[in-house]
Amino acid sequence: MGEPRAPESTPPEPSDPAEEARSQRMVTVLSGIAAQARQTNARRIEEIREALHRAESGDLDHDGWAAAERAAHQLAGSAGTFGFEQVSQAARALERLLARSLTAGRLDDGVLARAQALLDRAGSELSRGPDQD
Amino acid sequence: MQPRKVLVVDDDDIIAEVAKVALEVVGGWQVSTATSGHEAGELAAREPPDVVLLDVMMPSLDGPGTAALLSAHPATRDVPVIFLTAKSAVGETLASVPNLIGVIGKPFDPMGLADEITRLAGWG
Repeated sequence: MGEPRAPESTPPEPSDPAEEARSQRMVTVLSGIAAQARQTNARRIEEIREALHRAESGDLDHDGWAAAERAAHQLAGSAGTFGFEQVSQAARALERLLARSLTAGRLDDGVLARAQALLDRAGSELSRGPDQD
Repeated sequence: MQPRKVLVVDDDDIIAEVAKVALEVVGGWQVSTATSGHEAGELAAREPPDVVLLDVMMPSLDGPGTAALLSAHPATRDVPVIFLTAKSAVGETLASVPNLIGVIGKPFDPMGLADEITRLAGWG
């Protein structure tokens, strides 16, 4: 994934060598975590996709819905942290959609199609890379 | 002076790791992490932190539940808690959460996280 939360997370202009070293270390370590996060988020998208397939065939129980909602929640938080704002927004909308269905205990017309569209958008944006300011 | 001790609790281990790195590198603090409320309770009881940074939405035991668990243990009953969450509805439940001193939104700015905690905890 990209650099975390530009521009807020952009390290400040170093005023001394210690601060410069600290900023550089942050960038290095967070870049490694970001790469890991991108893989994890791609896996979360596939997990949700699989859950939606099961829902389509009427084979997704309450726990399955809850797991899909949690995956969407984590996707939204993680993607936003690493500068994938579009992924985060799509995942947040998906999380709300799944939560409403979970609470209602039923699938209203069009819910699966909307969920699929949001998931496709998240997957597509994740492939493109982090948002540019 | 001893470094501040912070416990970060988030079921997303990547978010927990980002917070840990941010607080260690920028704040110079001693940071431990837990990925569940129950694990947080055990860790905090063994070595009480100065503050707990706590995710709200977690399976099994959520943020408010974890805060209640911490407040019920003699070793951690006074440890301040800061919620880390993207949930906009969290405000409705704040009043009932023991030792809650503030909320930090997700996604958070890694470079500013230590400053935000310092402000909320009154360490400035």
